[in-house]
Amino acid sequence: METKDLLNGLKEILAEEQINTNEEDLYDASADRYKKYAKVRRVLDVPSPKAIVYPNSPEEVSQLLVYCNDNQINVIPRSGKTATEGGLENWKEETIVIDAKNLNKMIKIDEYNMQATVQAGVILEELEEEVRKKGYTTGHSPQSKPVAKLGGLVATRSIGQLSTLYGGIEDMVVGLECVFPDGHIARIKNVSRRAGGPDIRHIVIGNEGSLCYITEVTVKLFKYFPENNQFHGYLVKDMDTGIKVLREVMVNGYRPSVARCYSEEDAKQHFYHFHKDRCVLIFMAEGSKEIAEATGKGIENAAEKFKDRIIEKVDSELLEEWFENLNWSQQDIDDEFEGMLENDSHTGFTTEVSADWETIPKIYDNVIKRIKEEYHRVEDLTLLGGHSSHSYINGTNMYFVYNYEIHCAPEDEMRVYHHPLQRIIVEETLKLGGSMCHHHGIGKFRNEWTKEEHGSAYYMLEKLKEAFDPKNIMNFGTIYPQKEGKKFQE
Amino acid sequence: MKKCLIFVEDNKSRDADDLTEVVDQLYGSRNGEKYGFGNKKALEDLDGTFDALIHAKNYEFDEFDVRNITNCIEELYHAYNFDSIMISATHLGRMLAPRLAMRLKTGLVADITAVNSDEKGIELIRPAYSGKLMAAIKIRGKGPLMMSVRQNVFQRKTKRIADSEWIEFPFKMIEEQRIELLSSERREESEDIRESEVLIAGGRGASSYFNELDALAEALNGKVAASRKIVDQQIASRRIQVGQSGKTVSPKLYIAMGISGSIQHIEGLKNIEHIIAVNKRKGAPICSIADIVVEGDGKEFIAKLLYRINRDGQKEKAGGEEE
Amino acid sequence: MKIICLIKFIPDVENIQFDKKKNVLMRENSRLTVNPDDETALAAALKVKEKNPETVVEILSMGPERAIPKFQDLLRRDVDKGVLISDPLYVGSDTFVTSRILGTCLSKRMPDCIFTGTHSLDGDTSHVPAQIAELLNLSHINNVLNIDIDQLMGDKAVVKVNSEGETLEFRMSLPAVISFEKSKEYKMPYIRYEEFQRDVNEKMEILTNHHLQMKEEEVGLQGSMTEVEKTFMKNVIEKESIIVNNDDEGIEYVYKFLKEKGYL
Repeated sequence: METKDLLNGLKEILAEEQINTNEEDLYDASADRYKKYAKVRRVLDVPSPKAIVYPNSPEEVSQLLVYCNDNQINVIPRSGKTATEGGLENWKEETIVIDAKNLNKMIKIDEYNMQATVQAGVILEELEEEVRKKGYTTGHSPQSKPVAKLGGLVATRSIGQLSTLYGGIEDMVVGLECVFPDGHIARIKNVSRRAGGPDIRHIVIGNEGSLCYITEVTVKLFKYFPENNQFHGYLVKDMDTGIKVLREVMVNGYRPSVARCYSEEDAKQHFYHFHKDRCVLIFMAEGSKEIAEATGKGIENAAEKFKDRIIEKVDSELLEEWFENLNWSQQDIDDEFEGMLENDSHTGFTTEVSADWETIPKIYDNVIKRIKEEYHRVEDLTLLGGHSSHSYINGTNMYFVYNYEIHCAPEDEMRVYHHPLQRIIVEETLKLGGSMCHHHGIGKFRNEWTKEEHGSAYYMLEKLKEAFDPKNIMNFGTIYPQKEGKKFQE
Repeated sequence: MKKCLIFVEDNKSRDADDLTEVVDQLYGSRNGEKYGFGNKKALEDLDGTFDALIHAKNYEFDEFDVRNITNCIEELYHAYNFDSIMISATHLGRMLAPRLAMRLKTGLVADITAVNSDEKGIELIRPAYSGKLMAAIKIRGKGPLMMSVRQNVFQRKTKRIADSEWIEFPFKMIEEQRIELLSSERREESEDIRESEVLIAGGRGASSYFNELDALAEALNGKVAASRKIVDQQIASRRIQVGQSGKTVSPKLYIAMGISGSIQHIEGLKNIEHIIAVNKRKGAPICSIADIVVEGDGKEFIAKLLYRINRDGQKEKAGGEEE
Repeated sequence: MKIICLIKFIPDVENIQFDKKKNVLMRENSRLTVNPDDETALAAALKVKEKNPETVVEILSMGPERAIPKFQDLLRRDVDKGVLISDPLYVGSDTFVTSRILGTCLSKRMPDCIFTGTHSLDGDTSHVPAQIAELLNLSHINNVLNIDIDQLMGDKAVVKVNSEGETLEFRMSLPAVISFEKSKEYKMPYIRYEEFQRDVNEKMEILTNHHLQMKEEEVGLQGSMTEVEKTFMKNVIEKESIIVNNDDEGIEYVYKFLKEKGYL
């Protein structure tokens, strides 16, 4: 389809000011934070979309999707732009980005029923600030909070730093509204729980834009007691000890909001002023006075049980200060951009996985060992470590972090550094039965392992795609591996 | 009695003067005869410090004409048989010394900062590995002992003597110059904070008084730098931002005013000799890597320190002892 | 025009491992990198070649066999040929001997120009380029910032030099030894991903003493004119911060510190 015809088609649905064809914006929209370095250095290898559009209502979204579906135009659903795994990257010549910028109303904050309803384009921090005024919190606190929006947060099955108490987004969503490629607008109503057949919210939560476009979300509210926050920190002998203490806290039924264990190198980044080259274990207890105190006690008991492998306690004040400065802001992103222009480096990449208690330490050790032995550019690594940051009664995650000096052309950066490292991490994780993506989603750069990740259950995912997006217009390349897309993955 | 030749570079007679101290430390103040060689006008200031001052008869060498200077000193060596030859480690010195050492087939130690001389022999001390290590070097072979000496490390301690002996030497080995100076330009002082030896950096805690940092920077001959928080508030330009996404700096002295010390900032600090952290909270992360932590208000600190510095300057002006 | 670039492989100066008990530098497993000044010199030569494609650029290095992978990495960047001098007999050579070894090799294949770095991060003596110039009877200049490629003729070169706060411009007769200072003006090109493993063996020549025929007593520690008696770390003690207040006592302490260390 000719570009001008494509744009004319859009003009029939939307007003001129809702259609953006600015070249810089289109270049920016061709990739997300996954290829941040290549983007800054202007050597992206993917096509730009033809337009970015800003619908004002779910009806307009519906019309747009029908138009795209009829004309085989690829659709990239976008809200906060904080994607880190290629979810927003464009692999097709004929693509439009549907941006939720104008779907930005906070519709209802229902204190008595503890629910907040917002459109997909509302920034999480703005919602959070609004409900804090009344003494509540959403409990959702990813590092991208100041910039990320609800649509993307739900589409990626995101998780926040306080998840060990509040849960991931899937525990917070009550109901939602979304639009499918054939134009159908589906509204899932808000009820506390039901058994009305399978839970269809889960088709939407985590679909990463490959099945539908989210337009509205209702999330739970929790009472907020910041005055009762307690921090507990310890320097521990090794990762294994740290994970054992985490497990002890969890299996005894406690729900600290923060429960983290950092490996020595990773700890250095955050806690250089007190980590003394050790692993750092951190907890935060939150809630009503009684709950926070009980949780605090539970943490202390767990530490006591492993006291011979705990080196020392950390001053809570230090932890509080660190926690306050954890989130990104738009300024961080802008600053990083400028930094990448000036220097041959960036803040590094991460690959994060999950497994049960027994398996996670094994995965951690295997990965570190294999990278040190096999990875051909191990000398360029300036940091290699990991931390566990989300725990459950039956397991936890492991967030591998790696920074490196970039000693190659910008267009080769991913092939030389991130991809081989990611491969090792994913392979070792899948080998032992863990999941290759705890909360970052599959995006486009882990889709070669999607089938292995799901095994025989992949059948169910596949059928969903056939049913809801038979023409494959929704975010081509995300989650579902595509032969045509392989060239962008090399 | 040991004979020592010190090379005197044009406009750098002070350096040659300092090198007499090296002779004294090596051989004792009475056992080392100091010969200076240079162009006539460079030697004038040294009359009374050196035992003998040698210059060419009817010839003046260009200060970059390393080959001819080498030829001259070789001739002098054959004439006087010096036990040691010392050259200040200037731009010229660092080209001349090795060339001369190869000519005389002798050992050379570069950029020395200290000497050890006792019954066991002579050791010359110099920095290596970008200043992280110190090495003690011995000379093998029959010598002369040759060294290039770091500037501003040694200072002449012996008093002036009676008049020096002036020698006009008829050099024979002067060759045609193969290098020609086409132009010279004073380099503008760089705006780049990376080139400054002293940095006064302001962080979020210094937002309200960031402009006062200039005065302190001037007093210490340094430049002002900023953390990301200051740049975010548009109080300073990104050009002076220190940190992972900004510039990496290695000054000798870094004074951190109101900077908490996030890892992103600390990543921009490499190999700094002295860090002073001025902060209301002595528990701020940056304090853990500082030599001195001043707990208190930064604005007050600057005012008080400047007052103290100026008070000292005024005393000197009012006729303190002359050096 | 043929340019030979002298390349030194140095250990990782940032992360030196020092055995405090034995008082020795642990060199064996330290990773090797190309000395930054030398890299600038090679980048400058490649820039000359870019402008004048008939230029031949060669590299010459003296080092251990474990430098071969890094050496080959350099060859993959449009360098025509590389000679690596490697012989256990040469271990322990000081700059005097190293200069003689390199000088001997160069005299057998005299180029129009020799590009080198000015100083190395580990030794930082700046001896070798000057001594090679002396042995081959050539002019030499340090701290070159820029070479005028347009004016680079068969017998003359024009360079700009950083000399203590001034920029000097010289014209030199060739052949000469031109020593560069690390600069952003000359950057090594990246090797593309597809080229990472390209076989460059036919460009590489390894020379031993068998080829150079130097006498045993002239090389290694035996032939050296200087010897490292011992090395020691500058700052052995871990720093403990001194905490002061914003009062007269505290300010006086800071003032004295600044004066003592020479900042005032």
